[in-house]
Amino acid sequence: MLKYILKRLAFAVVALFIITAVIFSLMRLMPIEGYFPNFDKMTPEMIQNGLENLGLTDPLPVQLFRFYRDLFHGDLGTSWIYQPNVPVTEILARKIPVSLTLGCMAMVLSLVVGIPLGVVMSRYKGRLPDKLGTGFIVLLNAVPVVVYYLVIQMVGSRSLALPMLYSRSDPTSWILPILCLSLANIAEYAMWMRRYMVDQLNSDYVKLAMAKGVSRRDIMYHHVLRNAFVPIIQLLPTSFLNTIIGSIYVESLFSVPGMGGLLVDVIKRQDNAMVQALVLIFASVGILGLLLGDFFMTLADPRIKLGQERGGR
Amino acid sequence: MPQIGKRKLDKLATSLEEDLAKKAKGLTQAEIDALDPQLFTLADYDAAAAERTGYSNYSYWRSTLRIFWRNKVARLLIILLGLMLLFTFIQPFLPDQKDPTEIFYNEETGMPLSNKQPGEVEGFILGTNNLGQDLWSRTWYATRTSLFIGFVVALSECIIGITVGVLWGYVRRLDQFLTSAYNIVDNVPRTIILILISYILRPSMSTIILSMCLVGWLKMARYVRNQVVIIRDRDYNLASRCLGSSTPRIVYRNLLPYLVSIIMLRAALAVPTAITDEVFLTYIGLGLPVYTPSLGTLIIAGKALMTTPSLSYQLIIPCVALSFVTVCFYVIGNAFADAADPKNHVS
Amino acid sequence: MKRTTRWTALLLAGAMTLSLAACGGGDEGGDSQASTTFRELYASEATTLNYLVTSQATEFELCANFVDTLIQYDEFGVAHGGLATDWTTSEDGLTWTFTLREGVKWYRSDGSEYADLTAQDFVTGLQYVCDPANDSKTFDIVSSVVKNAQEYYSGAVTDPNEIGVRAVDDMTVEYTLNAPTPYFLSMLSYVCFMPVNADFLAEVGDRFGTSADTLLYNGAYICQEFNPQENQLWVKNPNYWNADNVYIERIERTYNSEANKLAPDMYKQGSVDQAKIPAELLEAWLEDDTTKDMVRPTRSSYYTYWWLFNFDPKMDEAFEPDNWKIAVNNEAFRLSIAHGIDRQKAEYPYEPYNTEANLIRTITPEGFVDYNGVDYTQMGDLAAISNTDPFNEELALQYKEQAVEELTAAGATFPIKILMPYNPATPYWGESCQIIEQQLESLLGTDYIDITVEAGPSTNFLAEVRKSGEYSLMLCNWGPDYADPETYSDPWSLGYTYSWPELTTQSDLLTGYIYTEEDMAAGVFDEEKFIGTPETVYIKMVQEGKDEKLDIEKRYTAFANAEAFLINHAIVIPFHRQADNGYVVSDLSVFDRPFSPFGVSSYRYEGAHLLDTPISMDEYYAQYDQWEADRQAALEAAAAES
Repeated sequence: MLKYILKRLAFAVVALFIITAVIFSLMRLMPIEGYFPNFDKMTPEMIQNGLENLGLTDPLPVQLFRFYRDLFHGDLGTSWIYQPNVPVTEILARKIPVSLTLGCMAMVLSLVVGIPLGVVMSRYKGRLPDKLGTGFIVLLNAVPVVVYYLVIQMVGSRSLALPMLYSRSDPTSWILPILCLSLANIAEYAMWMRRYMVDQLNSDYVKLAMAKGVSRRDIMYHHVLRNAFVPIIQLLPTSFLNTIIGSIYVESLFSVPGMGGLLVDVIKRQDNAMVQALVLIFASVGILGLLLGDFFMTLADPRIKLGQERGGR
Repeated sequence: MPQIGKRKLDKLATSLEEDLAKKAKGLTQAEIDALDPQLFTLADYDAAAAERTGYSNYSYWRSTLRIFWRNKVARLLIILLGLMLLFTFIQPFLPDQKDPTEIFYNEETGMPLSNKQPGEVEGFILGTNNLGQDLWSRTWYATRTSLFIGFVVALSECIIGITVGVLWGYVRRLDQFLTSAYNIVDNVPRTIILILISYILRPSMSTIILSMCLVGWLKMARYVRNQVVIIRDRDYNLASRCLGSSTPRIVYRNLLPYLVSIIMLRAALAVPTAITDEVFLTYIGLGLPVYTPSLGTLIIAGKALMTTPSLSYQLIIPCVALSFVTVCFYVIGNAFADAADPKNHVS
Repeated sequence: MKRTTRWTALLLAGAMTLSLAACGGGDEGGDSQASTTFRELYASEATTLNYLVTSQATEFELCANFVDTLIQYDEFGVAHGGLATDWTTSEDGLTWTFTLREGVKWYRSDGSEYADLTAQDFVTGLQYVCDPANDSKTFDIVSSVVKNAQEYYSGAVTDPNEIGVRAVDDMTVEYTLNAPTPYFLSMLSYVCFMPVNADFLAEVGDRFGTSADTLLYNGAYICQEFNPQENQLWVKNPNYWNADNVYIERIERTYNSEANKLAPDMYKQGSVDQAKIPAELLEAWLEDDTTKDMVRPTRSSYYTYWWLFNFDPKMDEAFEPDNWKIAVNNEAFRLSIAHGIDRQKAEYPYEPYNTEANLIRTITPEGFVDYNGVDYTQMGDLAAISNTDPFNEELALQYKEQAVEELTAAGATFPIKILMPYNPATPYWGESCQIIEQQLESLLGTDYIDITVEAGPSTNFLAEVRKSGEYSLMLCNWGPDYADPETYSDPWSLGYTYSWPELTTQSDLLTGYIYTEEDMAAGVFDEEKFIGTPETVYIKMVQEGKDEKLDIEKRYTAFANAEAFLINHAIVIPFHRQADNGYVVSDLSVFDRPFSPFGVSSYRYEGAHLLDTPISMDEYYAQYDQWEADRQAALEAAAAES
């Protein structure tokens, strides 16, 4: 088990190395115009000087080597254009906690609402609560998020008099963004929970238990729920870590100074130092999430052993 | 019998003999002698006989369609979607249709006939946008564009995704390599690929489709691969192989029915996903050019007007179109996936 | 049992997070709603406060209010002393000497005093800009006038003290120029001539201007909070030398990337004091009785936009560059387009309410410079152009007939394909192109021209499209760097990748002179590839203006004639200037703020008042007319004084 985890960690390091190298090279394909907001009025000499100061005139391997060397020393460099001369870590240290706090609260909310919703739906499969729940899930999946976020913001701020924009110091202003963030997840958790519960309810051991006269309640809570929860547990670490990434729509709509949209923003501005740091973080989040997910799953279900068949996740 | 190796046969024979030896303790010599020696000789492979025992009038596709058709909501939606698709394509050929990009002018002022409510000016069923373009024809054109993007992306997802997925799942030698490659590619943020491609190439339909195709097939490949791995070594496949069925036959009769369910679901969801991705690309400023209306461009243009109630029709109309398409595909895809699952055919 | 406790713990943890967060807050909400607080939403964030490096308007908005300049412009655009009280020019016009204001100090972001402002601070500032390591984006402005700036930047001079700026004593700063520059004074209101304290610079190093506390202040406002992508808080600097003229005590700015969409609604709710009304919303606001008197335009910017014909077409074969080359060198063809574009329609997406307001007929906009009260656009040959509307369908059709005849003779094939690219990242550009396409094609006929509107890449647009010559007809722009019409002549000079008019085959646009190696040695141009290039009539005409340093009237007239030449020969088709912020609903007054077409003075809040009700459209235009009249008087008074 330990050996397996170490093996996967080693693979993760290699994967991160390759991913950053690819992104690093891709970013070098971007046009030089993007590095200078006033490109049109710059003299060729100023452009050349600017490129030299950014270290872009060196051959690619040299730049890449420099990047890895600094990375090895724990230095992600300083931002180029997004906030020139400010260390990337400083910018991230300001932004990650914001997204993380909101994201975690949204996650708690979606678990607290989504899981029971899924359970209720499976309990009343084919009846009104199931149909209502399915309608809700379909609607959330089908209506573009851009649209229903705006509706939430408008309705929330006009009818409920909640603050329209996020403010660090006013928790009531967090309600609407958290609601927006959690809706899609509520739908997802409810959908999966319902599906797993239905699968379990149809399985032979449940039929046996029913035949033996175990109360429906006991079957649900002692056996079915527990088993149905295993796949959900596998998803949790990824969802949790993904909250770091934030949501571009929600954060730009409510002025949340978090990570959402940061990637898009820095790619557009060609702030390579920031892009590299973000890709590194996001890729680590993905890899780590999977690893933790698998790990938790073995804890929750001793029948599953890691390292043998890496089949479905 | 090319399918079964000599060694396997030998093994089978020995184990049979051993079993018999164990059992023999409980049998008298007379009973043993009474057994027909014919039972202990190897039977030749007979394709017809192999199937004969399990005969039923079961047809996979017929059952799938039957189950699917039983779902009332899905039935309704597929009819509506069919009608909508049909109308989307015949709309430009109907009489009195306007060009979606043509700008109409107010004859008195000479300025564009902008922001007219639905029905406010005769001939403009859904009103006009801020440039004086006809929203009715724009919405249909946009639906056409978005559906086209959706279908092309879904198709490419299926082709690339299934091919890679089956290879990945079935060919054991590729598994290690493809799994590693997948883990790397999957962890490159999707957005970054979408954005980089949209930047390197100029905004156009083909750029958008290309960038979505490049990231879309990954999920499909993984689902297919997982399904193949799970089913590949199931007992009935083993049995089928023991009975000498050929690999294509196993893939076609035994694997495919299981895959159809997952493929149809993924393909059906790929269409709305592509459409919403297009909205996202438009949102971050990398959408289609102004002369190709799409649901994304219409929604993002409408979003700017959302705060003014009198103009919100410009947002609501494309949103309704988009939501209708996505709801249809979502529900139909799920219903079909349920129906295509052979487990649900028993009853 | 166990399970229950786990759930309880989870819930408790959630509740605690919420309550903790609630305890942490409460220091900001709702206080200080004094009438002198101005609140707004902004959509693009300043990347740095380092005024010596940036060249972006987003950042000027802050710097201009935090750091003062040697001279300032008043609300009529008349130059007055800022940090300098008095200045003199030497006989030869090469040396400018400024006496600094007494008692001006630098303050930290918490309002505490740091040091006195001395002449050395201006020297340090300019040396900082000229240091290539600092990568200043406004260096080109400095290098064009200040002695040895270019030499120091490129390494020919290594001692920074050789740069043409010197602290004569603590209160006197002296600039030495390359050549007599009549407009040097106007350049001093730009960021690259701002002072910086050397000790502080050494103290903060690379972090200079990265946050509120890594900057020193001597202007009207001090930035107390600068939280990127979150908010800014500026408070009035009570020790500012002209603090009596600062009426707004606090400026609270909140970041929102969707500010354009949200701000109008927030204004209605009373949570901001200013909101931009995007063109799409304008009609709805003007139709609603409760809001129609709240909306007003903003002042026009001095960035001008015009369509250019490309004389060096390098687009795809599909767009027939060779055929275009024949067409573009035919003056009648160009004139048929120039007179055929319905500019009001083309303006509609930008400005649906008043399509005439921002249209220009000349490259240099009205009100940029004047000579003794006569506006530049009314001087020389420009007067005739300024007074006639170029859109003339009959004339366009006449020229079309002439062009068809001449082009057929020249072997061109019809329809002439016209590639018209636009940048999808620029709002309304694409829509405007669509209008022109339909309007021109229906006026001149699809058998004559075939316009293709094409979206270029949203990044690298200039390099990929304009600089590489992949267009036939495109909207381009230029903004002034200093107060002299010369600044608008650059795009048609050698070495600028705009439309390459020197490559024309139309002989009356050329003087017949071919550039030689001697010209390069003499500094007429600095790239070898121009040897053998013909001289254009325009460049020769501009040179006449450049050579006239003393007689401003002659100088301006020469530039005006050159500009008129470009327009009359349809090398350029002037289109519009953009209003800074389109339409707004705002509690801010308009015409008592500093005004200047260049530099950063117009970003200042100094002199502005907060009003009880926003100015309406009619009030705005009434005030504008009043301001124009007052300005005329002020300019004449200033001219009389000097």
